[in-house]
Amino acid sequence: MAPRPSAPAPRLEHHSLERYEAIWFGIATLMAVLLFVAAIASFISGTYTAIEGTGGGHHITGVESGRLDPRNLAATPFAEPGLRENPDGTLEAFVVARAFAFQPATLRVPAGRPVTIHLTSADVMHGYQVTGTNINATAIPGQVTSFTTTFRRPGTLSLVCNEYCGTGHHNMVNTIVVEAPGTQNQTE
Amino acid sequence: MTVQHAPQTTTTSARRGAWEVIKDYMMTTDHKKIGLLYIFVSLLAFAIGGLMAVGIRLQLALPDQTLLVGNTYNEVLTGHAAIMIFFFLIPIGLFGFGNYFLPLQLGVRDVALPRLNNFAVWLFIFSLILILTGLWNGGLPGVGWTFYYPLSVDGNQTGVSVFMVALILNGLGSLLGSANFAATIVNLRAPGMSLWKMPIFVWSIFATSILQLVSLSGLTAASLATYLELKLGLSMFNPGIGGTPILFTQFFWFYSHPAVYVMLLPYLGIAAEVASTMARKPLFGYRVMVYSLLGIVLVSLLVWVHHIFAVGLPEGWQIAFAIATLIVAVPTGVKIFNLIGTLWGGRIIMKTPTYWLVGFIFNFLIGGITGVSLGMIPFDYQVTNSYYIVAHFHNVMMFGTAFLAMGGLYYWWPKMTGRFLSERLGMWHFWLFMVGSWMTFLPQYILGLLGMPRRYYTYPAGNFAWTELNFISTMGALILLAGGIVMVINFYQGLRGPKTASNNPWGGYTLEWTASSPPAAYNFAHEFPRTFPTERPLYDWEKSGQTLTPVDPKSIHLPQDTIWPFMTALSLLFMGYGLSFGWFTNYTPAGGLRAFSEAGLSFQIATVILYLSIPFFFYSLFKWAGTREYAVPVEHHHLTKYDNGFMGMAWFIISEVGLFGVLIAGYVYLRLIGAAEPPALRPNIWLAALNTLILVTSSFVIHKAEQDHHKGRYTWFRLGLLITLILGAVFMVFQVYEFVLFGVESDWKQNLWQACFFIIVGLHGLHILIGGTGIALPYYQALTGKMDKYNHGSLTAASLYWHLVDVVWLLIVAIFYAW
Repeated sequence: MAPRPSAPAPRLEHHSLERYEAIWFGIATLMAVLLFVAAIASFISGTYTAIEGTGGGHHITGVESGRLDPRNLAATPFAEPGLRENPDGTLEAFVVARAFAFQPATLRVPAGRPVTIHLTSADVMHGYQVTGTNINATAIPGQVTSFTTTFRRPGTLSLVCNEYCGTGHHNMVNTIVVEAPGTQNQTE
Repeated sequence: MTVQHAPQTTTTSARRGAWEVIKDYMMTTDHKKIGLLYIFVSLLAFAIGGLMAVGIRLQLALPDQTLLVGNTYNEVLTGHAAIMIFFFLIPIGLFGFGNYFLPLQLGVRDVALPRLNNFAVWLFIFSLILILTGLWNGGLPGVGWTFYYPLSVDGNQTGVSVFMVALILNGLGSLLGSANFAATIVNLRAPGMSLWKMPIFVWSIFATSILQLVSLSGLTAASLATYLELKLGLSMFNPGIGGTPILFTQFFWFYSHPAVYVMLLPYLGIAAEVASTMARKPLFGYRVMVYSLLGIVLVSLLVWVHHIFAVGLPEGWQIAFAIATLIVAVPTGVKIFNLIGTLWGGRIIMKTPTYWLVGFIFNFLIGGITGVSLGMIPFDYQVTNSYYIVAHFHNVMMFGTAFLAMGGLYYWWPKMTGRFLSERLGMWHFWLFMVGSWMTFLPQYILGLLGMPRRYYTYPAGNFAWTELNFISTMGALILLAGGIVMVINFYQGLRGPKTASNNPWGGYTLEWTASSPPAAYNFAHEFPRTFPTERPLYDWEKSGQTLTPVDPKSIHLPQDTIWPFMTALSLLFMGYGLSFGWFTNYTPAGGLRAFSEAGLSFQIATVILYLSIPFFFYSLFKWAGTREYAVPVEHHHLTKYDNGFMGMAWFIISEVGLFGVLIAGYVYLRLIGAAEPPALRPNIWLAALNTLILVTSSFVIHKAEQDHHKGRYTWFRLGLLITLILGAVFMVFQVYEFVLFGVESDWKQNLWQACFFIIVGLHGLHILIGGTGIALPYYQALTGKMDKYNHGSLTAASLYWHLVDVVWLLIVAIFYAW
């Protein structure tokens, strides 16, 4: 095997290195600025993704600016957790997380209709993660977490707590049943 | 070679007994011994935490295992995280290597405040011991290292109080160490070495120290508030009285995100040193790397909310923090790029330190990219609290920065011990860690995407691929265990055998390589040339033909050993034990005040220890203050006009400002949203006004006293200190009166404003006591004739601290009495 004719290796001179360094610093600064501008532009133009809805504009009895008294859930709709249909046809679900289960144990929602879920905790912080979606909200004692979502496909989804809440944490698993439109009345 | 190295020390001291060695380490002021102590304890903690991790993985190897169940699992999990973070990753880089090599690289004989350094290392060790005392007091903490509120105050939890106290003590040691480093860098560089000619490792320690001083207050505030709720029912977070649990998470992550960078920056410094030495090239972009370090310090303080995107903060907040999260990746990426740039085109010596470095670059790049993915809010919602997160932070810490901790050990081992580590065992160690890490954590990324939440102690069979992936992960953990065993063997062998390392075995160009291996107590038996053209002085001096000037070691004076910093730290261990498991009275928030005889035996013992620790603390502290730092009068050199005590205190004060800043920000928030409304009967402004007058007067008095000392009027000086102490005592009397009155008038467990008042104003009262003790020290020094024209004792530091306490009071008057 003939030795490869070796071209004289370019010498790394002190000022050529300094020039590279200066160029690199310029590139890094430019990257930071571009990233900043691009992010701002995306947020101004509204091309970012986010969870839609901030409580859906619903007023909840006993809740003021998203806060309630965790010792007195009875004075709020959280006393009877579950799905309810308002006179104007909107759907609201009240969910209470407590060690170590969600109430209601099975939340039944119709497919294809927007549902506003209101979530609170009766004791410590819990997580509210619906598997296979990016629904992941924290249930906070004294505060109500609300979001509106639409479940499109009928089926059963698992609902898990992902915020460490005590020894029974891993057992805090319930379900959401998404029902095809029309079957809802029979199951209620 | 024109640069002459110090002659090898050939004197072999006779083998000393174990007790002699331990006593030496208890009394030492030598930064090298203190650094070794940090490194040794950190490695011990790494071993304990690692064994805990193996236990966790064995439990999770297959579905429905019963090895570690329920709270036992949670205790092991919490212990693993807390020990790895607070007792391995943070201390070994910042304080282990920092203490050992910062003075050596700066070409000085010790850190600015050597005795404080001894106090800090023992406080660090005692905080570890304190956590372990939970074992026979109910159990280790099981709330996760994040100790989220309100789980932490749940009655079923164990070990939370002791965890809180240990974190505060650990934090105090950490802050004193950081302030000491910053003061050393500002005050004590080799003559001629400007800030821009410091080795990059020194810069990384400087940046980390600043970050630690600014941000640690968040953790202190979180643990202090949790502790006070457990012991006294004082709460800023209790939703039952209008508090906000999320405020706790804000406090906590305000520190705990920057903490990630505290666990990264020192190692980036080590990486740069290894890369430059092993590639035989100067650093690519030294200045850019320094700017990046400082850029990381700045931006890392602005990203903490990305840990709590899922709590549903306003969209504007989430967006702002998402942007900051992406931007912090830029300086971090610059560092990685510059490391590659340094290696590029070099004649690389492929030894074990280089392997760890290259391993780090590869692993950290992937860990960093998964970190950026978590900055994308919608994706973050999907994987928050899943195993994806677990895999990500192990990717950056376990096989990112911990790789460089190993790299640093392999690189500097010859300097620290005079012996080499085995290259062959080193290769085994490296490859077992590399393969083991990926095998452990790559499946965890996938598990996270498949929806496995973290902190589950068991899982059912039948989930798609969960069983297989968990099993592979456990196999990986066992490979890591094998790597750990090889590591221990290698380190053990590396401490035996003949000392074969020369002064400069790798051919490095920074000043530590001119000292002998291991360095003598005085570090250098020579003086350096005064010109520092670049950050690689040995190279420049060799080119320009400048030489080191030998110095007679007999003319070098070092601080004398003293036991009292150790004793002071020991008294704080006892005090911490008492505060964790006992209290001044038999008071519980639920049961109220009861007779002391009704308390349990362990509570009674702890309370007695608490009371005994107080005189022990003061005795040790005053003995410490009464012992001169040097046995003989020495001339002090510092680069600024401020002495080391003042400089250290000035840096330390940043953390105090941060602590009050965090707590006051929390209070102002609660007040603005209308949750913390003052009750009708609240402390009167007139008493506060009087107290303000007293405190402001005392500030002027101590300033005058300082001037008197400066001008040699010692009688007036002593009188000034005495008057300051009396004014402080009068202030305390008024404040205790006010507290008692307010506490009797209404129930602090039911009123948020009152709880905030007692926490923050009470904390200020504690600072009056600390500041008063600080002034009592120079007063004692003056009374025992230790102060003269050249000896200022701890006067300047005490006076500065007193002014701080005064300024904070003005703010407190404004927001608690006037508002």
